[in-house]
Amino acid sequence: MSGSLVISLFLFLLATGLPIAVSMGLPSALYLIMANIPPSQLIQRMVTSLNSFPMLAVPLFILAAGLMNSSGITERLFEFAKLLVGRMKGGLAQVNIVASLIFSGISGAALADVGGLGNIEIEAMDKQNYPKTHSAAITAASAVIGPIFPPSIPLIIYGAAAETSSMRLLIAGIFPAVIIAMALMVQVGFRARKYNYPRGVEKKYSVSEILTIVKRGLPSMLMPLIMMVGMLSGWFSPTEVAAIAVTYALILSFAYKEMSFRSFFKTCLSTLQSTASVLFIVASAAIFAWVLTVEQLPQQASALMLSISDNPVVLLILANMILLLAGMFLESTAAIMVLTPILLPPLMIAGVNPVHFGLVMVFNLMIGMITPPVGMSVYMLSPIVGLPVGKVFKAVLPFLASLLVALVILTYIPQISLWLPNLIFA
Amino acid sequence: MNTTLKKIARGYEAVAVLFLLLLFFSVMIQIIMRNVFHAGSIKLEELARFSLVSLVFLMIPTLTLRKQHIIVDIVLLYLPQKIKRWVSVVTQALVLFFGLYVLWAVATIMQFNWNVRTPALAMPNVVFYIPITLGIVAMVVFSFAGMIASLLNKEVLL
Repeated sequence: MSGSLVISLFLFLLATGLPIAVSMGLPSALYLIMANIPPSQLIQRMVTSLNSFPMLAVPLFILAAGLMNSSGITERLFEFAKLLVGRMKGGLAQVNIVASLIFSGISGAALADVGGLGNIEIEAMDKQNYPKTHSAAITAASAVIGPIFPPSIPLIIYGAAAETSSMRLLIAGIFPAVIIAMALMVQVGFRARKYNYPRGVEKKYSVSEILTIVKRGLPSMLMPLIMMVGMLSGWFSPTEVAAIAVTYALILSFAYKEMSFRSFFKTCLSTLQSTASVLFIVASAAIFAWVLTVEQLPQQASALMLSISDNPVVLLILANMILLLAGMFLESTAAIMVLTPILLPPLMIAGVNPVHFGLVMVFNLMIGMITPPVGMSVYMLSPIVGLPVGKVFKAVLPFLASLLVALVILTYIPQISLWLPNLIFA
Repeated sequence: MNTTLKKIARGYEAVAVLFLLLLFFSVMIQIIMRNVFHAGSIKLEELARFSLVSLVFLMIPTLTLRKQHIIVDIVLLYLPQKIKRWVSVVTQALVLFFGLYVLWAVATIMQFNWNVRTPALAMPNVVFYIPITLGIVAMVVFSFAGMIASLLNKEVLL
């Protein structure tokens, strides 16, 4: 059984609707049987991939975001973002982006952004008569920021796959997330004029109103700050920061008196579901990637890419094209685990920094979350806005322009990602 | 049968929640010990890692029963209902086969290495692999139930 047959079988099983983890595990199991390799190899690889300290951050970050959501933080964040940019023309569309940026400092997943903030953002935009397609499109596009700004579950998984420091990766995400938010805000600014979007807030805020909103929002806003300071100071590892975030979220939840034992248990269960569905893929991808390595597929891909060019600019164009295409069809965790060992070695030979490439990879795959046919953010948003999936996909398309501009900037100016981690870890 | 499956899934979820809390407290105590008492513990780190592995495998059967695994359903969406049913039978059978293979893999490890101990907690493999085995056994049972239900055109849902 050759490596290409393993990949073909994986893609076929994927298309039949088999769980992604099993779609990876089953061809690997068949390979082991046919190659007469002991089956213990499979379970050992699966367990070892999970039995790692950085991976502990995954459930903890998901739990922290879940607890913050249950404590009514999303409304407070939305009000705070409204205070910052609500007075602009097309204010609520801008608020949507700023709120996503702030929320991304709490949650590490794009879908958590859509699920957490989506309802509030779309309801508020509905009230101001924004076309539903526009509000859905802006919400989906801004959710892309979530996994770029720390904490980020895809970046932690990339760190494990690329054997790169997850701390460096998380810190490297700060400026790129701001660049993406700025690119989206510029496009929304143009659209606000073209479609005559209303101001988010007509009247000026009084001092007492400002103080009330800041007071309400500040405790939640402190969460990203605590995480940033914890990581930037070097006091805590990403896993430890995640545990501190959970502690802080628990304190806030009880302080806001919006957490009962029942809702806590419910949050724990949804954390477990998200964690298990992502990490089961990571575990299966570990044996799948091993099979591809035994079959020397990464070496072949590396040789092929380097035969085209050894210029990092050309290789990055190629990598971006592959990743954008993969993001359209593959779930991000699976794509990271399979493509990292294939794409990273030739890029590193060409001089691309693995931290920089991690950011580029995750951003590409997040764009895939809003593109057909498997744009999961759009599938999640469609019932919220009450529009068919196809209409939401069509509405999101214009925002790909600003996201692709941001992608080009981040790909070809690595200093945006690398400056801060290099400064801290110099 | 549905009630039994439901009870099993709830039991697994409850144990997984305990592992999640154990993971959280292990990391928190580790932070306190390292920063306050200047004495980090590799035992706590290993306990947290063991909890992570255990909670993931204990939740896999629940994901199987509730059809919460991440899938790509773009092709399925366009299939007629009758074919969808048969695809569901086949996919459940494939999950079952994969589960059986994983159990075989666990058995081969236990055959020779059941007494190999983890470095910090000195936990023998036979203990370390209990949650993993329980998770995969339940996945096999749930996928078998799902396969039968699809064959009978019924739904196994919680």
